[in-house]
Amino acid sequence: MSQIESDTLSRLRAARNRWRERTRSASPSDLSLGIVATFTADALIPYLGSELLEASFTPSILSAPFNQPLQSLMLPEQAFGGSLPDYILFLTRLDDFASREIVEFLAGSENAWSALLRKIDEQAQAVRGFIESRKSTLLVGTFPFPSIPEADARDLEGGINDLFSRLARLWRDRLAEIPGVILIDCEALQRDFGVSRSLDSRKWLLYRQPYTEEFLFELASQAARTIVATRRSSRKCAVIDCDNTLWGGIIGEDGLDGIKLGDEFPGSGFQAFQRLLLHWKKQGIFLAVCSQNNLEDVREVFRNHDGMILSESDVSVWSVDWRPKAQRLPEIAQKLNIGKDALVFFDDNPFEIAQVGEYHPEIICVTVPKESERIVSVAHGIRAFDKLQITNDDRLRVNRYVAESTREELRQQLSIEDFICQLGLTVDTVLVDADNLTRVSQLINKTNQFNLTTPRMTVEEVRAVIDSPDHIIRAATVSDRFGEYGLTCVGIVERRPESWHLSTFLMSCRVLGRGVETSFLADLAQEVLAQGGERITAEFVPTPRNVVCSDFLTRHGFTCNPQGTWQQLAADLAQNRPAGRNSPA
Amino acid sequence: MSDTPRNLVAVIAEVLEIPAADLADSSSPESVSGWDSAKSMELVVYLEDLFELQFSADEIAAMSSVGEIRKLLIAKGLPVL
Repeated sequence: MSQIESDTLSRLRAARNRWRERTRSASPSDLSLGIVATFTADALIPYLGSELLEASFTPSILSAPFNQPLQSLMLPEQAFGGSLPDYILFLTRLDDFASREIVEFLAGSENAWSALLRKIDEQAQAVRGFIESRKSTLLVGTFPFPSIPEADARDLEGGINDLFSRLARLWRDRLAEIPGVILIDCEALQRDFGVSRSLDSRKWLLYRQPYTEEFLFELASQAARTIVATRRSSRKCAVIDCDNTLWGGIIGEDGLDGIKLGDEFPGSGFQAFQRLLLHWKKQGIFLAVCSQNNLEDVREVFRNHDGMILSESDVSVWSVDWRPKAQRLPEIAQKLNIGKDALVFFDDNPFEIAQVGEYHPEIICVTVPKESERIVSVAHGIRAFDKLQITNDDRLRVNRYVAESTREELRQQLSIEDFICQLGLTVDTVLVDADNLTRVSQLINKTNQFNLTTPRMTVEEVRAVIDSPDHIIRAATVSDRFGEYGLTCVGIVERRPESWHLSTFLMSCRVLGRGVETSFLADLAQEVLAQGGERITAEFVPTPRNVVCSDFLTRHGFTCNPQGTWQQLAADLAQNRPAGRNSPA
Repeated sequence: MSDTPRNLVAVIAEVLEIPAADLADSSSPESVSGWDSAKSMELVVYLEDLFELQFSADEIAAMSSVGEIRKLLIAKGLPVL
């Protein structure tokens, strides 16, 4: 057995053992997950569990009864012993539900195509029904390559490959029509891993469990990462060392002509890493250079070395001096106005890595390998900048960036009041329901800056608030004449003996500085008036990140009584509503 | 893999999460509550990992009781008690 194989086996063993320990402990779970699959998926649980434990969650995981995936999606409470898990993972395979139709299609049957469409529609209907009626977060797998005795990917006529591409595309398109579905790209995962390596025919024939342990681990790890990404904000900045990271050798010693960077190995390995960094930068990731060097030496390479892919303008922060890096990383975060937990640190020096890891455990540290050919695959492997593939809201985003630059041009021509007025800003306050629940809980859990009290809530907890007669929960969508910002505000007011209390009030920073919060607060106050309330109380809970809303209460006329409670009349708040409306309130 | 013989009943009890005393040679998925097919599969993975080998589907299908599992492992020359 090779070293790599034995490393993999011990990693898998460690994962299973970690989960076995967890199942023996009685500590309560903080995340529940249910698996619905068209095959036996129990063997996935230990790996999912250990990956979530690794991410500091204490999960409980159940799988739905075998062989009734669609019923389980329709009646999930029944499938999961009476209560609905926070997350449902739905994994489906063509070979499990459409094997016969595929074989008929390959044999030339005319009706087989429409039968396949019907089967896929049936699955999409079940997903839609779940999304519309239940409040769990739903993760849905794309199709892996089907394994059926009659066809093989290597067949000369290749019919199965063509059919699979069409069906896989169709399933993605169907899912894209349903808002709030989070994709787990099983197809891509299996392509990267290898179809034949992913399958274990013994377990398939004996237990209806198709996959090898190694592939189950990959699948679980992808699903766990996705779940974690729904709860935590994503990484926003790559902090990069220079010597033996951006190029081979040491600029201060080897000089501009001596460092290794260019078309030829080993310089080509460093160039490949720079291409990846540039790609990240184009995706909106900040790049920061953090090196122990003379700044001029480093700038010289960026300016004058033919092998450089990155240019000076790609770098948002330069931190080049001789102080320890552990001291400088917080400064970088501060300059970019992001948290330390949004940084990923790349360095070839194990000492720096260890020191940064020790002082700042929230920073992801990546040791750049000595072999330059391995840097890119190591950097890919951390998957730190993965974005969730979530249907609906994300598709707006591309347009939003374009609209943002047009808005910026207008801003430069006008005073701030005129700018808001000219924008034609509309704020529409809406009920929170199954359609927007995913987005609402995302906002609650990810908004760090404009967040008055920074509560964190599970989907279940949000649902409880929706159902409670003593709470008002609303969200707001914002648009202006250049485009839509989507759902950007969430507020919760709770009934107290003497008043209504603003327990949650937050807003995405992309609509900051436009009076959106004032309009949204006015609508919440209107709801309080409708419930017969007179006064609204509130508090500001400061965190290192939410300075931007420290004057929110005073700005809206709240006053602090001698007991230290901030309060304001709902009627006064309701009157001040600068933005327009698209739809009747 | 060490050559120290492994106590098979202890290994199976560990996977099934029951006291070893509850298992005898005749114990099988039919007689032990909680020994379902998911546990059988987990046991196969555990044994393959422990002894660094892969069973064929035939061999897995023959693992119908504690005694049968022991017989199979001994026939493969593995150190079990």
